Amino acid sequence: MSAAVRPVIAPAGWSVALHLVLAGLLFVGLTLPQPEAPLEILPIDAMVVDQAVILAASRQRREVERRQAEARRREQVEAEARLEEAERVERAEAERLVEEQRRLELEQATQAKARADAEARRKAEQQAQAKAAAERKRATDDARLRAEREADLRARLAEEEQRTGAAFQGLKAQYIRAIQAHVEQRWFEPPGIGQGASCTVHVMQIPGGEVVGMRFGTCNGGEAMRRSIETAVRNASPLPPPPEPGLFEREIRLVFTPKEQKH
Amino acid sequence: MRRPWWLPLLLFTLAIPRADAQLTVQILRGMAESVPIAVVPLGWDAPGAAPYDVAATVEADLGRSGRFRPLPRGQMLELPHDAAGVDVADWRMLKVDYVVVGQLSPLPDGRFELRYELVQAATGERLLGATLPADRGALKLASHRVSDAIYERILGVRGAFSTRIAYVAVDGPASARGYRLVVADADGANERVAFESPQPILSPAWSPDGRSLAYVSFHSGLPAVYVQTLRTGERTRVSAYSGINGAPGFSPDGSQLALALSRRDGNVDIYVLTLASKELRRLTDDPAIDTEPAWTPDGRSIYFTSDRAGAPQVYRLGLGEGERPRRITFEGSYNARPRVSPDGRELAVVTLDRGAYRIAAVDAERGTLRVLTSGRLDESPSWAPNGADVIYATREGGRGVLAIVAADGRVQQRLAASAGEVREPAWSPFAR
Repeated sequence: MSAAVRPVIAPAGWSVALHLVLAGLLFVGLTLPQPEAPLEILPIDAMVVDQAVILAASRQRREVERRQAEARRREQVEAEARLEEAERVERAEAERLVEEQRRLELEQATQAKARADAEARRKAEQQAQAKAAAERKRATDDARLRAEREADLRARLAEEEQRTGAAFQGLKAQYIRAIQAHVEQRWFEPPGIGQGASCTVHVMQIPGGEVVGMRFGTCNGGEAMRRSIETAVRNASPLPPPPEPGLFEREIRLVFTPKEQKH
Repeated sequence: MRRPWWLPLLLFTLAIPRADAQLTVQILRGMAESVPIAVVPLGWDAPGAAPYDVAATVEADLGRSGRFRPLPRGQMLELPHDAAGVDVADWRMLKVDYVVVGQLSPLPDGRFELRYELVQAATGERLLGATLPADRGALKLASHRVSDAIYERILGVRGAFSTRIAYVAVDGPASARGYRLVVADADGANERVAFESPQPILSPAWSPDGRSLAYVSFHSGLPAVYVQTLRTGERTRVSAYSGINGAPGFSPDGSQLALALSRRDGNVDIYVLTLASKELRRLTDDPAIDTEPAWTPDGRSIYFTSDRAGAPQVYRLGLGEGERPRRITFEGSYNARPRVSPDGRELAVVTLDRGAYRIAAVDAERGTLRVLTSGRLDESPSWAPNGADVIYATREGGRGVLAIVAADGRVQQRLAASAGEVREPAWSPFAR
């Protein structure tokens, strides 16, 4: 769209712009800058001052200089004082700091000590308590241990008793069986022993098993049975030894009850 | 920790047997098989050799019974002839329980005096001491009597060494069979033939006095029951009814004979014949076979075999009025030939035991049965008069022999028998 416009205005625009540029160049040429005049006042004017004025001025200048020195001095002193003060303040501050530090340290030390003391006391107390507890524990432990050991001993004794008892019974049964077999092997049971026949014989033996005596207790068997028993007992001497010496008995009761052979 | 002071005390008390724990030992059964005995050769205080070795016979008797174990003579340390000379310590050392000593002396009348003593080695006690006179021919019997006395003194049961046995011997080929009724001493020696026949002889039975035998003979062609007096040989036919005449058994008083007869009806039943009057009384009347009657010692009942239940079993019939047979045996499928023990408490029977016929003892009251023998074909049991043994027939090497078993089954022995087949032994009663 603009392209369509631009060709319309171009010839006129370019001419105007050229004119303007030429006019400008001309103007610049006419107005070129010239060198600038000095602005400073020359000191020739001062040559005209009188002596008094010079003196006054000199005094005034000295006064000023004195005042200035004074001021400088005062200023210096003040500075020095200020410095001093500053230094003092600084020192004081330092001292205060040190003091503070020391106080703090002291305080800390004190506190530490207190703490340490407390700790020590606590520890001591703890130890004491522990010791007491240990003491108490030891005491109860001892009691318990004693009780335990006693119980254990009792248990062992009971067991021992039972075991000994059982062993005793076992050995006794063994002894009885040994005697039984020993006598039965030597007993010729006479034929025709009546049913229900039974004879008790008290046999006296001495250590070593030798039969030193015998007597009949209740006996409902006949003479042949008595004789057979007598012979069996005599022939059974010496009787077998007990498996345990404590089982030895001087008197043994033999009960001859023939097993019923008839139905 | 220290042991409590009471510990050893306690252990000590444990070791002490309680007062009520006195050792009591039950002796249930004698295991000794036999009694060791020494029969010392008798002294002979006359010139020459002794006419008879009494000790040898006694030793043989006792040893054969199985209940004694005689000490061989060679082991004897001394040969005393009286109890005073018996050093019991020596005999005990030889493990001898009893010692028999004695002396044989000639008497002025030509007979002999047999003196013997029995000493118990354990105590030195003299248990027997006797003197018996005997002529030369009776020394053997006298020796058996010594054995009887020793047996009885030690075992409490009368010895049966002086008794006899009867049996039937069969010999010859089948075409020429010979049957003999033999009576011998209990040891099988001294055989005498009581009756001889080419026809079968069966079922010998002793009279209670031991003087007669009843038996069945076919010598007339038909079975008949005879009673024969042994000393005289006199023979009486007591039963020759038609049919079967068999299995005679004397009543305890000897006045009656129980028999198995078939008579006219052919049905075998039990009868009782009174010998003096010939009176016959029928006891059973059953279509089955009732046979082999045996009297109880009290004479009040008869045991017999009957197959009325289908197989032979033993029954008892009381002889009172109106009593009925009661079956006794129930164990096993076959129980026959009952023979009553002298005390009446047991029956010896033939039982079928695991395919074999064996001798068993049956409790007369309870009927329980105890097999005594172990043969294949054991037959014809007969009690020794002392009830200690049962003689029976068995087979050995294909031939019939006699054997003896103890009533408790512990001892068995074979009886020496002459050649030929031996059957149906019958043990005599004690001589009166």
